[in-house]
Order: sequence, then C-alpha cells, then structure tokens
Amino acid sequence: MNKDEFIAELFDGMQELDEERIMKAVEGAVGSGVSFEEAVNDGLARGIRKIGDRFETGELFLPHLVMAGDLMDAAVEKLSGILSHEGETVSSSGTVIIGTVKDDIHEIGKNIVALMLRVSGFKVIDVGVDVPISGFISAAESNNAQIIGTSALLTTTQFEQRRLVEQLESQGMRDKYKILVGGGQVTESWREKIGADGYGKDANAAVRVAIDLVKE
Amino acid sequence: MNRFVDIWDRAQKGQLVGEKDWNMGLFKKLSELTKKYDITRKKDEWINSDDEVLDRVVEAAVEFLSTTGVYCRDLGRVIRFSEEEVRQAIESAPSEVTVGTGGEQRTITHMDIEDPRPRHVLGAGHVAFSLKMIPKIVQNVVKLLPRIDYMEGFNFKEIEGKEIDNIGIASYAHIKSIEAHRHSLEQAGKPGIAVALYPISTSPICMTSPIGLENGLRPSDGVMLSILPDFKVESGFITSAIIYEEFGTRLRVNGCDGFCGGTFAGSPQNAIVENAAQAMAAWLCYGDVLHNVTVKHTDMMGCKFHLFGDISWASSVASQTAARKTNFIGLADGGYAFELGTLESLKAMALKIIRGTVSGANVWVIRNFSPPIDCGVSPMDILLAVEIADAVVEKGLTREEADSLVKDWVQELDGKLVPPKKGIRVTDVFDLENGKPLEPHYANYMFVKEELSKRGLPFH
Repeated sequence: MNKDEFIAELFDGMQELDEERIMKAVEGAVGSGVSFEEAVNDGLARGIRKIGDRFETGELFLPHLVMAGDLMDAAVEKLSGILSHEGETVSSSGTVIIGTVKDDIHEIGKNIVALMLRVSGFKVIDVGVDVPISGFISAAESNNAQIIGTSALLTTTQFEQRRLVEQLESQGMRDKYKILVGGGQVTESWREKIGADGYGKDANAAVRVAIDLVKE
Repeated sequence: MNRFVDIWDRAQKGQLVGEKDWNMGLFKKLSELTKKYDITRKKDEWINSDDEVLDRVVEAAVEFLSTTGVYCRDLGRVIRFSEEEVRQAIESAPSEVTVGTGGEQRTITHMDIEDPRPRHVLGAGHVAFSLKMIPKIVQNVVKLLPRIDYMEGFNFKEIEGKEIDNIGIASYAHIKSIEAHRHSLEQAGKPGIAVALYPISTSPICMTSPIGLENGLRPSDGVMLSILPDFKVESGFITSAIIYEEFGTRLRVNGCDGFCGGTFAGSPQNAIVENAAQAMAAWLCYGDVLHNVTVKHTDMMGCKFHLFGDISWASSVASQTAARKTNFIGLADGGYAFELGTLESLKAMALKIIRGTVSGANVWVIRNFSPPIDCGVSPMDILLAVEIADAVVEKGLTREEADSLVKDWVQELDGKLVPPKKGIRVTDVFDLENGKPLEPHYANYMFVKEELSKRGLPFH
C-alpha cells in the first residue's frame, strides 16, 4: 500500500482498536514510503485523538481509551524497530504526573483526565491514589515532567494540594513544575489561593489548561 | 466470631493483582456477561418494563461476583466468594431495618416494583456544608418534610476556625458533626431520628470516632460504607464494619452507583450488572442493608442529552432488579448535576424520582456531583421529591405509564442543559431563617408540580 493508504490503515485500525490489523499494517511500513513521524503522528496519534472525541460523545468508554493508549505504545515500539527515526521526533505535548492526593481514594475524575491528556499527546505517568507529596515529586523528578496534576475530592484532602506547592517552594523547586489542580471541592479561587498554576473543572478543561501551561 | 473478621482475612490472603489488570479484567468480564445474558435495551424505553431481563441481570451478577471477586484496593488483593455464598447472601440479606428511637423509630423496608406503599425518605446530607449551616438545614428539612426515615450526615472543610487537614481533627469533626445533628434534631422536636454518618475522612479511626458518645452515634443510627467504583473495597472500611457490627449498628448504606462512561465498567449495560453485584458484595463485605440501585454516567456535568435514554433505562433495570429479585432495600438518588434550584435541575430530579419510585426504590435526594460547599441541596428539593414519589404511588403509576410520561416531558430539556457554574448557594434559593423558598426556586418548584399534575399525577 502507498503512504496515504498506510496512514489510513493505522487510523482505521485504531478506530476498531484492532491490534492485529495495526501490527500487520506496521509490517508494511517500509514499503509504503512513510516516515516514522508521519506514521505516528498522522496515523496513530490522529487516530487516538478521534478515540478521545468518541469517548467525549459517549460512544466509547474509559477502557477503550486505555486500549487505545496501549495499542499506540505497542505500535510505536514496533515502528521504532522498522523505520529509522534518527532526528525525527514524535510530537509530544509534554510529560504530566497525575494522581489523587494522600488519604483520598477517589479516582474516576483522575482516570478520565489522565487518559484524555494521553490521547491529546501528553506522556502521562499516573501515580494512582492516596499518593503522598513525596510520591508526586519523585515521579516528576525521575520522569522529567513539566506538569504535576493532583486530584482531591474530599474537603479534608484538598489541603494536600496546597502542601505540595509549599513543599516545592521549600525545596527550591517551585519553578521547575507547573501545578495543575482539580477535584470535587476544588475551584479557580482555591487554585489562586494556594498558588497553583492551573485548574481544570473537567477533563476537557484540564487538557486545555495543560496545553497552555506547557506553552508558557 | 464477627463475620467481617473473615472478610479481612480473605483480603489479606487473597490473590495479588495489579490494579490495571483488575480494571481491564473488570471491563472484559462484564462485557462477556452482558453479551452472554443478553442485557440489552431492546425497546426505546426510558423505564424498563421487561421482567425477564431482571432474571438475567441477577444471574450475570452472581456469575460476576463468584468468578471475579472484589478487589481490595489498598492491599492489592482479591477477596473471593463461592457461588453458594453469593446466592446465600441474596437470600439472607435483611428486607427491613429498624432505625431511630422513641417516636421517630422507623422500619425501612424493601419495596417492590409499583409497590402501593409510600416510599421511605432519606432527608438531606451527603454533601459539603459549613458546620454552622447544618442546624438550619436539618431543622428546615425536618419541619418541611411530611416524613423522614433517617438523615444522612454532611462533610465540611473547617471546624472552629481550623482547617480539617489531618486524621486527628477529622476524627474530632466527625464527632462534632453527629453532635450538631443531635442538637438540631432536638431543637426541631425530633430527637429520635436516626443519623447515618457520612465520611469526612474514610480512615476507620474517623469513621468510628463518634460511636457511643453521649451525643454521638447510637446503635439505632447508621453509617455509609460504600463499595467503590470499579468494584473495589478498602480494608479500612472492612475494619469499620467489624466495629459497627460489634456496636450493633444495622443501618449500613452502600451509596455507590453503577457508574458507566468514565469507569472501567464502561457501558450502561455493564454498569447494571456491576450495580447488582455491588449490592451483593456490599452485604458480604460490609453488612450494608441499603443500596444505591441506580446507574449513572460519569459525565453528568457534560449534559449530553442523547445519553439520557440509555442511562435512564439502565438505571431503571438496576432498581427493578433489586426490587423484584432480591431482598435488598433500594435507594434511588434523585440528585442532579445542574445548578441548584433551576427548572432544569428540578425536572431532571423529577425524572429520577418518578423512575426510582415506580421501579421500587426509596427516595434519596443528593447532588450528582460534588458541589462547592453550601451549594449542595435545598430543603425544597427534598420536599418536591417526596411529593412526586407520593403522587406516583397514589396514582398507581405503572412502569409503562411512567415511561410515556417521562419520555414526553423530559424531551423539553434537550438543548437547555447547562453545566453548573458552581455558584448558587442554598441560601440563594431558600430562606433558612424563616423556612421559606425564595424566588425563582419556588416558582420552579410550583411549575414542575403543575406540569406533572397536568400529566395526571395528584398533588395536594
């Protein structure tokens, strides 16, 4: 198949979440004349963004986002072994650490935001729930993150978001990361009060804010 | 021995499973089962009228729980039950629970589909209010409602000028919350109404701190111990169950919906099966006797009207399964995601109450999402919910009639739903000092009643 057909096959395979179809297509990458960047960005990444759109309309569900993300990882890894990509980079919006703060086990919102960030091109490290401040910071350090995102649903746990900002300040690391906050009781005025950089009232807003934060 | 000690034991010794594997396994298994048992919406119904699907839901839920188990999130292990244990749980779960004391003692009972008896009412709670607001909320709810079976607690952010930001002060806050309820109910002339603790913090120390204190929780009170979304439990909740069991608390409430969309259950059909299994698991793991028997989409603030029919049907199946096929006492939350006191929010609530009532669930009015503090629920909303439930029962509305009513009426919401701006406070819609609704909340309340009255529901 030619380049356009190859890219379309990756896109369509992603819509079907069909691993076999995508991997079979990838084997023909060299013959199509496609570059690594074109395959990943125009085929797979565009496909995963469409998956995100379909999730937003209620056609697909959270597990489909996970499958799409895993499928993309597998396809990119296989393409790396087939197509040269020296000097070519996969477009990435940045790296985000995301988790629910200590003593809070709510994760629905956090899960959705994590996956929507991923389909929007961010590298996302989900550190889970009930995460101490040290967990966020060490994950950010070891992954060279640009953004630390914290979710808190309980009235008692959102104070951890403020403690994270304070801890980064005390360690002289505040300027190293952008802090994104969200959760049931969290508001824009809370963000301002604690000196965080961004607030997402829902998943879409969180993605928009994250995109703006990495541009700053 | 206290049966929840065995649950802790199973959690401690259960198979280790990574959380991502559990999550994706949940979706895979539920999807297989909804296909195997044909849990599908075959007609354009917003309220289910097919009894055969209810049998299949129960079988799917039994197979799900007995083959998959429940995930203890903090230990990363699976708690398993045999099929015999699951079926026995359905048989052995109590169909009634007595709560409260003195003249306010109530027996909350299981209801059937289209049950001719008035529904039980849970009044207020489940959202964040300032501690100083609690007395006025409680007193107004008690005075306004024709009846209440129990009240649910609130959570709040600060107490006596100090932020609640650690387990120590959270334990203190739990104690003071129940104390505030006790005093408020006394002042309202109803000291015996049961109070169910709503967690400010989910640590077992906090969850059990008010037990046995002079103005704390009595055995005739209750506690919310919920199964978590994606079919998970916490060891801390099991510990709380052990303690509450010894204390003699029978009113234990599982508040978790069958969530679809942004959870690993995925589809509304999967969420039906998950919700049915949640009630079984909640009884087995925590001793819960009241259960939230609804399905909800996680994007409730997205106001996507085209999802309403699917979700409504799924929610009605969840309620009806509990009502017709089990002893579980069902609660259908009538809460909503739109701005407090608006016409849209009251109409959305009315849909849920009509659906829940005709499907055999009791009345529970909470907000669908976590509103900011003091924006949670108005006493007028709960009154409207009770009045609608009573009208449905008095009319003897059938599922088919309810389906026609809601489908026709709720279509008007299409295109008009607006995500809340998180600003309208209860004091903007209700005068707590004088016990009266404010405009336009009152006008909206009357409009909804008039519209439903034109459609045949009797209001007095």
